[in-house]
Amino acid sequence: MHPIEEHHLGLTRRRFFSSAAKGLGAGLGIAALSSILGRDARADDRKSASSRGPHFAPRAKRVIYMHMEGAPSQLDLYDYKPGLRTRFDEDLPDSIRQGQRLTGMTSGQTRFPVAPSMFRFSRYANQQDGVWLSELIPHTAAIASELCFVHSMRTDAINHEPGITFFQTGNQQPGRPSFGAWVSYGLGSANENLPSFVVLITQGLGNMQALSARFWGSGFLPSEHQGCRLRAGKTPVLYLNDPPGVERGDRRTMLDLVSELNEREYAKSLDPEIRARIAQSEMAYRMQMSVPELTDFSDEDADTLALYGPDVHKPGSFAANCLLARRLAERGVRFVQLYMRGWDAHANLPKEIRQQCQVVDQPQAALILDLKRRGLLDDTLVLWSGEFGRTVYSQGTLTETDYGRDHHPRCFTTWMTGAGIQRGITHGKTDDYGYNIVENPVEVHDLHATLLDQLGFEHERLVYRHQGRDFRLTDVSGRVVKEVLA
Amino acid sequence: MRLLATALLALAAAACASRPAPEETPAPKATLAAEETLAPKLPSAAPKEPPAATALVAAVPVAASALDRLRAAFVHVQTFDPARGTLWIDCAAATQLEDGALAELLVPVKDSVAHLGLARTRAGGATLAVVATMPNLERLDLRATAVDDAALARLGAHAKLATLVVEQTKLDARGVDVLVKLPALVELHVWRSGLDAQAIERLRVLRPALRVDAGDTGPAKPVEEEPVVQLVSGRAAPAAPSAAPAAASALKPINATCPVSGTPVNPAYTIVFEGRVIGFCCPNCPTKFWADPQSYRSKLPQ
Repeated sequence: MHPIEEHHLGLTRRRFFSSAAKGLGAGLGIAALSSILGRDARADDRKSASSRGPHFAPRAKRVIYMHMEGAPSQLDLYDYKPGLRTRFDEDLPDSIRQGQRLTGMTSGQTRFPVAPSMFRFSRYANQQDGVWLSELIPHTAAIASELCFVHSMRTDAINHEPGITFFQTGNQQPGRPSFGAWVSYGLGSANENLPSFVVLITQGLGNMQALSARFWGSGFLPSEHQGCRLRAGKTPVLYLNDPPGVERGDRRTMLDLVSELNEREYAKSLDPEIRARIAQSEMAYRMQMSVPELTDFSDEDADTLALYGPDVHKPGSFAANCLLARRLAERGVRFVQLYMRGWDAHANLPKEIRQQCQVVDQPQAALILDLKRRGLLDDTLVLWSGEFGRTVYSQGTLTETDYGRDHHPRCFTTWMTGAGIQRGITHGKTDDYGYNIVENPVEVHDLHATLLDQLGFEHERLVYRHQGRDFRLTDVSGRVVKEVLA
Repeated sequence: MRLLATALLALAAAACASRPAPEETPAPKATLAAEETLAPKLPSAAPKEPPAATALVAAVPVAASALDRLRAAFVHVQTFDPARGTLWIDCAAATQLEDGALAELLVPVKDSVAHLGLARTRAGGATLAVVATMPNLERLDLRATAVDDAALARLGAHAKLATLVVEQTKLDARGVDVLVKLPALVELHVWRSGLDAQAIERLRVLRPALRVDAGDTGPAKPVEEEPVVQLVSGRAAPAAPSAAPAAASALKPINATCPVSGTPVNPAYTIVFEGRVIGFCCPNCPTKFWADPQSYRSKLPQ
């Protein structure tokens, strides 16, 4: 037996007997017992460690993921259905709906009237025969030649919590590590002064749903991989600043002593969470210096600020968060997760989506242009998506200028750009009602596999052993969508 | 106790990095254990003994001590291509290093570097002289540095460099002469590099195959626009028994002003009344018209 393993086993055995003797922690006792019985925990660790990337030369070094929480309507933004213009208020044919399950919000409706989008679309040139995009997103449309639209995304979830959880963790039930945590775990940090996974949230103007911190949790991965949320305003990270009267030198002395004590405890217990704790304390110490510099936009020139639009001066706005995302990306942060809330337009959709688009359109296009001209789009992967789409039939009142749309998991549009992604294309098609996918469906696990592939991972090899089995972001599924790769 | 813990950690890291797990399929040749890159940097910790085995099994082996020195300076080192044993080195957290110090740190790893990120650092001539000797370098990021023509010239005719980012640098028009000497260059980012429009044009003429991104592409205009959106009901309209069939909306109305409101007609809103096509300004006026057609008769052309 290797001396390290022997040492570890010795520790575990000792701990098991001592805790059992004290009658403490049955869970710990069982864990220790299992290693005595031959389930070698170290072997699991080693297996997990060898799964870390990169498995091959990556095309992307980092990810910026804009999640549109609440699910924007693909029919009013991206999925152009001119044929529906003459089917206003017509009943959705059963041959289209095919008895699909509906949410409790519309399952009681007596009829499902078709609500064509009231917004005007225009065709923008790309590398194919162009893409039709809505008048609501003129700035995004103007960079269509940089984007890859996937019109054929689908998900299994029909409600927000499981929907976002599925997109973020590859599973509808909570508890798995989030996408950003997997990337942080698999690749580590590229800037030891900042967290490798940062979360930025913008409050919406439309109907909002809950946004839980577990969406950026690390699940069973070591906790230093969880997302670090930067708040808007003067204290981006709570409790990061030293209290009045504590000098930086004092903090250093304190951390040195605590680290020494923690190292002793680690030597005794080999509990990985102790090392996570040490890593986090040290990270916080360095962030005391790096975060103020990061969030201070005074070194941005007027042109750049203007590119993101007037909201850029408002902390926490989508514009400010997009600029912050670029600053994080250029400082080597692996995974920047933006959330824009408020897309859940069950009613008043035209009014709400107009407001939401006014907030996101210019900044998100600015982010792409800004990354591009700085040479960062070559190795940064950008993803824009909601957790599902919205129905073609109206929920509630339907007039020519007012309608609502319910949740629709069967098809929706996401777009990507950046490292490894073919630009200026569309992928997948939906039927004339924008209700079912008719060409090239892309599952959530396929999307994850595709993005991991760009980061240098074989998605089937990026695993972590937990409760006796290997877990993956892509669970037991996932296909790299080669058709969208450059 | 403390020393023991440190020694054990160092041993564990070395063991983890150097020993292939026997029961598994062969691991990729080059693996920098991510664990190692994540290990907390404790400035006050006793200096670790350099691990006996190299952490990187590269085509050209790199001394572990060199990697340790880079990491101690907060320079990010990561396996880039495990098959070839190359590295990605990034100085995102080491922007305060002086040019000379940076150059010195890079010398021992120069044979293995494939991607090098020097963005926002103080890199200059000394560093670029070392970069020039990196045989496997494919991508170099000099974004937002004080690199000028003279410093860039230290790259010489690098045989492999394919992507170069020099945006927000201090080049001037002569920078073009330096750039054209790089034979393998396929992609170049020159936004705000100091190269003016004329210099960029010259570059494009001299190297037509080179993709030059000057950040100067304006927003695209639509190539085709949908006509004004007209929603036409797919259901029979019970409120207006003689409403025009969908096709009739394409017919030209006989009137120019709306008989109800007196404002100009929008051809999207038409009905057929006594065999003639009547236009309205909005979707509400036809309802009012149908409520009492006779009272509006005088407003229609005879």
